[in-house]
Amino acid sequence: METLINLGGGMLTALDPFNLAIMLTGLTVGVVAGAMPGISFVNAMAIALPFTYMMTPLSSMVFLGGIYAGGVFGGSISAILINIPGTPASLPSCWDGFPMTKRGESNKALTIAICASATGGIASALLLTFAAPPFAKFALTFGQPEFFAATVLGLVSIIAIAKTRPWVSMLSLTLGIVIGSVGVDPLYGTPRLTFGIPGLQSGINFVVVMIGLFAFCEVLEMLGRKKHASGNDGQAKFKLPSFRDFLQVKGAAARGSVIGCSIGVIPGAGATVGAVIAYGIEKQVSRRGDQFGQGVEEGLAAPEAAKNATTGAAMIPLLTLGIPGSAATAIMLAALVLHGVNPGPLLFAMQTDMVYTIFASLLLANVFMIVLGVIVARGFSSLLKIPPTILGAFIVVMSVVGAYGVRNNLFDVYICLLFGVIGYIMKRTGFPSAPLVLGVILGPLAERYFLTSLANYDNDLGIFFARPISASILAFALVFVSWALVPELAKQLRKLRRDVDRIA
Amino acid sequence: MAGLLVPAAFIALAFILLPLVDEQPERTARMTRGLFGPTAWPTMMLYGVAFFASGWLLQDLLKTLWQFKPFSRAGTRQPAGGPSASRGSPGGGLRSELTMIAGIAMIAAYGYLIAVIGFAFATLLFLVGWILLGGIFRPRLIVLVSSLGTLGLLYLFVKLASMPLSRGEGVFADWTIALYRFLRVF
Repeated sequence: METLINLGGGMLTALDPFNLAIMLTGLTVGVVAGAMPGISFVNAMAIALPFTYMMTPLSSMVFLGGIYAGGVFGGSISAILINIPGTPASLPSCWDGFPMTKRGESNKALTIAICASATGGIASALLLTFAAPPFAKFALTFGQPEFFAATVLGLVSIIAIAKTRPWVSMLSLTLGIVIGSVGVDPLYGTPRLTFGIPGLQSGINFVVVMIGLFAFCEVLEMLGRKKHASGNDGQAKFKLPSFRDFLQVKGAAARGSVIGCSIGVIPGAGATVGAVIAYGIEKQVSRRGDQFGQGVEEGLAAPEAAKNATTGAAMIPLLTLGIPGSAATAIMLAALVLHGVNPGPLLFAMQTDMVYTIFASLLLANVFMIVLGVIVARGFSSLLKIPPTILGAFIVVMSVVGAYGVRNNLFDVYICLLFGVIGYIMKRTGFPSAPLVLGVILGPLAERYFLTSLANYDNDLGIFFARPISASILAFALVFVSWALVPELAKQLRKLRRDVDRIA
Repeated sequence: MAGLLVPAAFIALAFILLPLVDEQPERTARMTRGLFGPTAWPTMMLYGVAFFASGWLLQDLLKTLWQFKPFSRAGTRQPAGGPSASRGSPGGGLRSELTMIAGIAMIAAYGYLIAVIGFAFATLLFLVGWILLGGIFRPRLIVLVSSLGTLGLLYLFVKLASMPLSRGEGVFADWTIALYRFLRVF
């Protein structure tokens, strides 16, 4: 009851015209930045950070929270319409969202994405409001082995996604992890696989790889075919959402929301892991699991709901413990610290009004996101009316600037171009690029947790299985792999037996 | 059979990289006492690459052998180039292939020119080149799109986002600064 009263008070403050305007501005910036390939919402938050100096701590959190919520969704607009994920978390949205656009169902795909994202976001904001303290207590028990186990779970989920070619997918994933391990190691400062090239010392950033593999590859196809990546030559016009489309996938959205809320609360796991795991689980659960990747609505709704469900959940460790679970929440932590506010359990006791206004703003941001998503998607759809050559030219420039902007380094642009060529070859030969990207994103995290775990526990590999939470997560990963692979293996065995019987 | 070369190439790549990744300073080796040091993770992953590529190779090899047996079903033979050869074909013909290769070259040239002549001029040239490559030859459209596009991008990235984009070398740096001053983005 006390929570509801506090939330009511927070809602009144959040609806104050100034705070509302700040939140809507942040939301717009986030959705637009997220939708633009190469300019991620994290970059937008970093750029916006100096603007918060002139705001109150509350306004700055409302503003950054708006960018965060909007940005996580925004990446799906470009993923669905032009097959270029605006953010890493939008990667699974390409797998079923873009095939829907190719079929001329971009309107339906965007409706599902907007509504599922809003559902996940609202569920997450409610979780943040009502379950913050117990969740934070649980996360507090996590050590490095648990973080490693959680990352492994995210990595193995790729098997469920590409179970028809497990060897090739796993090869692509491990190649991605190798690429992610290029540069100075996180613990001892020793360079690996740098071949004496100074630019490689700081590693290969996943944003650079992602832009190269997805953006350049798609643009080259557009240039070669002289038509839009969407295949509908700009005829797509986004209308008002039809909630009937969304109601068909409410189950997938609900499952995605639960997964996103559970994953998001784990620091370091983030929206990408949440979205990928939700996609993998949905593929197993759905009756149309074998058609995933060809434009199945559930395959879009589940990761969409999951990635936005991580936003509020990721703020639980941030606000209650001061542990930022992602780059975005690290920027929010920086904003709080800049204003002299120290997040932690005391924040709930000392500045209850502020905390509950942040909760209420996040709830409102997810509601307003439906309207803003429609507006931005409509504007983005009109981009498809531009001749593909001209659109492609600007995507290349934006992508080059996006790659450059990661570290203000031209070397990253060259790496990005190299991955553009690699991506083109991969696409032509049918070699999967999604596992590689996942490896580059999660590989460095897994390595850091792996090495620090072993350094803390005297190089004992058994520590990952001796600790109950870590062992449970790893066991879950094993069950997940078996669940994904056993039916496929059984199918292949049956086929083999049939062939042998025929020969006999 | 040519399709078997791809996984074999990955196995070779892993074993070429393994000795390179294993080199670590003596000080680090002492710190880690030969156990899980900075090279452990990439080494494990390279063995992973070799393992999964071997699995892929074995799978394709068995498939190929099975298809060459006299009792195999007709029409199940893989297309030349292995199982992956038929995937992802753009289907645009030789002209389309050449356009895409020219596009790759143009993007690479753009990346190089950014450092030499600066972002502003390189972008202007790239936009003109790319539009021509895409088969649009209307001069007014080319001039408008490339000049207004470059202008818009400069306002967005230099003025609004304050990104320290390359201004080029020598005289190009002076020209870029003059252009920025003229456009009041600097």
